[in-house]
Amino acid sequence: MKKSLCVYLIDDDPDDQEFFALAIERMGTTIRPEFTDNGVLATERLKSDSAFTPDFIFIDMNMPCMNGLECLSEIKKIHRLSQVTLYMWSTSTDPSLTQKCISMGAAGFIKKVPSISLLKEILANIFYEQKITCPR
Amino acid sequence: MSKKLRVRGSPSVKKTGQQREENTVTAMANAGSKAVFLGTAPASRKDYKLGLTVTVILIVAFAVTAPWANVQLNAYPAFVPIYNAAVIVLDLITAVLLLAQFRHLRERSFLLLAGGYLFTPPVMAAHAVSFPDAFIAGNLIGGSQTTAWLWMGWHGVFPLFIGGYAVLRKRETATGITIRPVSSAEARIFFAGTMLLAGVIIFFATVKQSLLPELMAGNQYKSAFTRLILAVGWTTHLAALFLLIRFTRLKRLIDTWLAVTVVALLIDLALSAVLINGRYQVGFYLGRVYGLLGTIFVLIVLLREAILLYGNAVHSAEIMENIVQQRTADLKGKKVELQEKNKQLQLTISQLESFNYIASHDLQEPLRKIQTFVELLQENKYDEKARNDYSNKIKQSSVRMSQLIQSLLAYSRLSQETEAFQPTNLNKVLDDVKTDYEMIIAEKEATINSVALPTIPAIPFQMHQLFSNIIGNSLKFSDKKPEINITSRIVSRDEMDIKNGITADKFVEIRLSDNGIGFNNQYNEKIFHLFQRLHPASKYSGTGIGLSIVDKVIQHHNGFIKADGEINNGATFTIYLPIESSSKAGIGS
Repeated sequence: MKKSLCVYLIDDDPDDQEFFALAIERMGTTIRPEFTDNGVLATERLKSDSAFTPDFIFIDMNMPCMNGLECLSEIKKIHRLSQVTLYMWSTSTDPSLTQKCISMGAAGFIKKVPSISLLKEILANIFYEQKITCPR
Repeated sequence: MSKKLRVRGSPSVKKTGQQREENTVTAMANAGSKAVFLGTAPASRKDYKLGLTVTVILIVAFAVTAPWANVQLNAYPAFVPIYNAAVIVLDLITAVLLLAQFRHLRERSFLLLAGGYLFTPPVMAAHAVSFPDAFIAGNLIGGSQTTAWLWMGWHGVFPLFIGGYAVLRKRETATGITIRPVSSAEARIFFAGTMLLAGVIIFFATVKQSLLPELMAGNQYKSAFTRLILAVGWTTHLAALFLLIRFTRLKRLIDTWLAVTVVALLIDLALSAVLINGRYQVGFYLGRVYGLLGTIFVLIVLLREAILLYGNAVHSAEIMENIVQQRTADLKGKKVELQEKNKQLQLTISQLESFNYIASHDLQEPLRKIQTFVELLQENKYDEKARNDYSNKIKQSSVRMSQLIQSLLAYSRLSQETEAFQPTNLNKVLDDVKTDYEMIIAEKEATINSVALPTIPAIPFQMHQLFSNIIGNSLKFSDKKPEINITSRIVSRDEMDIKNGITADKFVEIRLSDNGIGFNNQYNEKIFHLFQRLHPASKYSGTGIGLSIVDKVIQHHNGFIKADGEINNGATFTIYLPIESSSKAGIGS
């Protein structure tokens, strides 16, 4: 039996961290969310802590110092995490930016939505698509 | 340069040498104009004077020598072929130059004149060969009368060419008459005719001399008939001179000197035939000196004009070259200007794109949060604590939204560039900013130390934005009592670290340093980018627009800005602003 699912959110906005946590919580399963509020600290943590291997990583596009794209490419360099599913997330996007993220190795691009329940739906879909058992 | 340029289009009244040169330039500018050609160059006052002087000298010299004209000297028969050879060569050169003229102008007058100079050489050659005792004892060709008749033929016919030239010239210069240019075939026929004429004269003077009346008795002129023939020759020359003056008015250089030539030939005739009664007298030799002079004048004029015009052509080419270079430089300037405008346009477009981005992103963010918090508030409406929390969050998000809108407005106002540069007292600007932040300064117990600042040409509102944003950051990004030091000094461009794009000579260097949380110096350029934040929103609020505004203000004032920071050890912003209205457009307008 696999241990509980771990999802890792890299986002500098405490409100968005809270929304994310609430959405996960409402799925009612043993999904463990982890947060770091900037790309520099997150990549440092992923590089140094070999025990920390999240199943999903969500990266905010707009962060201070290291933006989402830089963060994505840094994480892609970590061989240990080659199987991890990476998602970008941001308030807005456009097709070219989405395409760029996917070409850099992201599984997709999630638009930040103005509702917890909607966010829960989106995340549940993602987890389901990745064939991970979790209630819909 | 400017002097040369003025030449173009300035109509000339006085025909000075300089003026003629200028005319040449004008003529060259009007491509195809034949106003100024070698033989058609107008005679200047100086040319008239010179022509007249030479004529007077010729006549005076003649008058002085005339009494001794019939003094008998030793016979030097070889003198004649030598003299003739010189005249033949000179006439041929003159003919070639005149033909070159004709090729350009295609005028009958020049054709005729060239014909005159081409007619002379064969007759002169025959004259030299036939001269008694020159090559052999007696005549090499012809008989005793050959030489005299050839001489008469030459002197009789040559003035006809000049007279004809004058008449044709009159027709050609008459206004309202367009004369068909002479074709090459016609010219060839004419020259063939000229040669035929020379041939006929030579033929009769040599082979058929017995048919002609006798002019000579040995080396002595036969009196009665010879005098008659000479009188006719003399009259022909006089008529040619009259026609020249009457019809050409000696307006052109070549006409003036043709007249002098005819005078010289008249004297030649008088000395070598009229005033003497036989060969080898003083007049015989002296007359030929006049004859030679008569040959030389037109040649000298043509050569002189050729050289002058060549010089003018080179000069004009230089002027043209200069004009072309100047135009090229102008065009380059325009190109640079266009490139500059293009760059500005690109910048504006990218700024618009940034605006588009913020409209869709940064303004959406607080809205999205408000929507989410409202949802949470509705779900937790019976939980009082949650209700308060979410209400506060909604309020924070709306404040942030309001801040964003205000900053964006300030930023967009910078793009309008409608305000004028005016002397701006930076001390007053600083005081205003301090007043704006009065509350925060008091709350955080901040101190702002500053020296006296100069008054510079600037847009006051933008200067306010500049100081407000930098000082605002210093007050915001601090974890202890903020202390801000402002220093100022005047620097010349050489003292500045910045090397590129400096448009002014003197700048004021203002340094604003604080004791705040600083920043990692690797971001010292990124810090000015629109919406770039270095600190998490959780710790320090900010829109990411403030330093973009600062950067834009600096750019707009042709200044420079540097940021230096160290984490937890403060930040220093060094700005350079021109202290005098620079030459660059935009300032002072």
